[in-house]
Amino acid sequence: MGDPKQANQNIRIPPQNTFDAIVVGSGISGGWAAKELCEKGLKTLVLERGRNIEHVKDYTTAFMHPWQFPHRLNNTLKDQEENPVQSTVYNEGSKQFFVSDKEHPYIQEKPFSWIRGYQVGGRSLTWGRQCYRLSDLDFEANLKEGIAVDWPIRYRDISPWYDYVENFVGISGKPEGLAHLPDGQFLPPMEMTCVEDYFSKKVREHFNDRIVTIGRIANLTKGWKGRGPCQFRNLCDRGCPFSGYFSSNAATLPAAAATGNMTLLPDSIVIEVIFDEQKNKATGVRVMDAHTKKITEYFARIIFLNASTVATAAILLNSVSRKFPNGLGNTSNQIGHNLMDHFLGAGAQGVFDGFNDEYYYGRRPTGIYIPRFRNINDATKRKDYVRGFGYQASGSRMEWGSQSQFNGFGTDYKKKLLTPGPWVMWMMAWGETLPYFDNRIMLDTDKKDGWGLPLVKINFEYHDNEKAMRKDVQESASEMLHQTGFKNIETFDYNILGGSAVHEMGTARMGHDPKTSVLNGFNQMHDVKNIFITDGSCMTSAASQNPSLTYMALTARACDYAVSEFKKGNL
Amino acid sequence: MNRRKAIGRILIISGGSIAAYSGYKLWDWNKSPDIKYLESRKELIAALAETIIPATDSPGAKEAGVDEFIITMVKDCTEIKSQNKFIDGLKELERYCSSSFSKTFQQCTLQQQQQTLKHFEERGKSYDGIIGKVENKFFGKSFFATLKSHTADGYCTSEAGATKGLSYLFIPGKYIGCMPMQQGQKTWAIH
Repeated sequence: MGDPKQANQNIRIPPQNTFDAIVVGSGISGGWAAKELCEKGLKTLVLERGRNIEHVKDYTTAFMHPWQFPHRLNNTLKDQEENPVQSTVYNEGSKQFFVSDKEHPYIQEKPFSWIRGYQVGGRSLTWGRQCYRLSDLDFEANLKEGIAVDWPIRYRDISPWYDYVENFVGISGKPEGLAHLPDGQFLPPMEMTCVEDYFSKKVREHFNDRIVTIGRIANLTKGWKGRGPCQFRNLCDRGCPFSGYFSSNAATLPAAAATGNMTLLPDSIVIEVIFDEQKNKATGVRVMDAHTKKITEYFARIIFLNASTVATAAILLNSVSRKFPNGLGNTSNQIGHNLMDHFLGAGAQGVFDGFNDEYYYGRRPTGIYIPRFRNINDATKRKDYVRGFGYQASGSRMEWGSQSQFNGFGTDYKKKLLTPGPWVMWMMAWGETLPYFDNRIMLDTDKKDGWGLPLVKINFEYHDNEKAMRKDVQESASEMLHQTGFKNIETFDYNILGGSAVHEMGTARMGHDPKTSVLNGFNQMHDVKNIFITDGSCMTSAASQNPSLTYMALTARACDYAVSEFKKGNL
Repeated sequence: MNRRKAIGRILIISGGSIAAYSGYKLWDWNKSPDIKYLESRKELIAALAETIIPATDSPGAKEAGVDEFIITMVKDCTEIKSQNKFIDGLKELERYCSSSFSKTFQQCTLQQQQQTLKHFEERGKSYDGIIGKVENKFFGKSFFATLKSHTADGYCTSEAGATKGLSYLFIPGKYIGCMPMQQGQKTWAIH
């Protein structure tokens, strides 16, 4: 881990540029594909379009104090101008892990935030780290409601793979015995603040259909596989020098490198997948060096696409051949369609009068979680919408950032500014968005980027189901705060753009039928059997849970299947 | 107060006349800001910040170097209308001190300084709720609101403010969800 020579040692190009497997992308799912394929003995090439980020060494802001940043972590007007999308999520401490919007433009047919991190580790360096399992409530929903297509898998298919990845990742959380939010293999849970604990007990008292639990998060509450533990700095998005949270850089890529089977090539942009019509197989990928723009072809018997939901669809749409004029493996005409994200921005907050002598120590990198409680069974069925949402919440004392606008100035003002304020509970929902055929990404036929590749065009909007849910999100949050004794309750509904949850999903969905879906139940392309896709694009529905854990489990499962097919000579 | 009343009436009664009323003002607030002047008033800004956060048993804004931070923030991170209102506000405050006390702000007694800030605080108050938000959006934040929020942010994120005014934990190492407040407990600084 963190071996400074790692990057150089990894560059071993075999004769004729031929490997057993190629993985496109080194983010959270690409990292898993690399680890699994390498550990199963396959010589694996991992291609990353961005620069190399060496674990620890390249976390240049990790140990900086706030006063060492020129703008004390604020973004400048220039940031907002040049990076109008990325600057909504980065700050001076994490900016280096997000792309420049200027260098990497895309077309927003309707407003959509496409947040990207082009580097080794991708967005696994800056992810929110919340980890929740899906259940059959999610896997059966499309079938039961006649929406889009049925998932080709059920919970029993993925459950052992959740166990498998959780055991490696290290996720802190508390078992709650909920059927629709299954428990995982947890490290010790983090503690609640006293107001959260109070809220949790009162919610159980007043509502028999919902619970409050501590966030399930990929931060290590004890040392795990030579990583961590978490130091409770809550500076995760700068990269963690203690390996306190899970990222490709801290965990999966070092494991892959340790096998001696991985070749990792940063600065390598995959422009298309090469298809051999005779063999009806993909034979490799065409790659452009990000700096010299030199083109090189690499070959392998298995190809995993883990470039992230939008980019994976773009690569497929850009890979045209006589057999697949609309994009590789696109006989279903579903590639690029059914784009989903979780909707954000609605919720409520309230003030609690009490616990004035209580405080907390350290900066916990998670909040609390209120799992979905709508449309679980007949008793919780809604007339106005299908599916549901989960709240992420936190109860803490008001601190200077929100207290600075008190009236007055001088000694009294200063004292107030520097003393912990009243307890505030804040809750916001992550809601399920349905897969709509018209929410899609396309390639522009004229406009190109700096590498001559067609610009991605995104067309995305929310519909009535999400709008109805947003209303309930505010009303329910407000009701819960009222019932549990909070005061000065305010609901909010910020107009946050699609994409802001950074949970893009669905552009190459799984399904039973090659006519209506792109991938089968093992994330294998219906049309081209040696291509596997296990990033967010495979998702048949979005569920309301944060999705990365599911990508990881699906990746490990798909690798297991792919290697067994490889060994049987079927690929 | 007259300005606030006027703006309030326009926003409430006839959105259409915003342009007529404020054509000149909008130009004034969108003009290229007088950065040279801003940079030349470091001592004034330091004295203003110190009046908001004075030295007590912990350092004040001046020792924390908040003046530098305010200038940087107004230059780099403050939207143009608020930027102009801040710089114009500084000029107005200088005129106010000169006509009221025949002194510069720095030469004023503590009481005169407080009286001056009180005057500008009162003038800079925005309306509550939605009207205030609209006002800030269309016309920029008031001089006093910008001064105060940059002073508080600058102090709380400075080394002196974070480590001596607040409690700063660089590497907490553990998390305790609920514990009794210590005697004289200060708020935790951000990271």
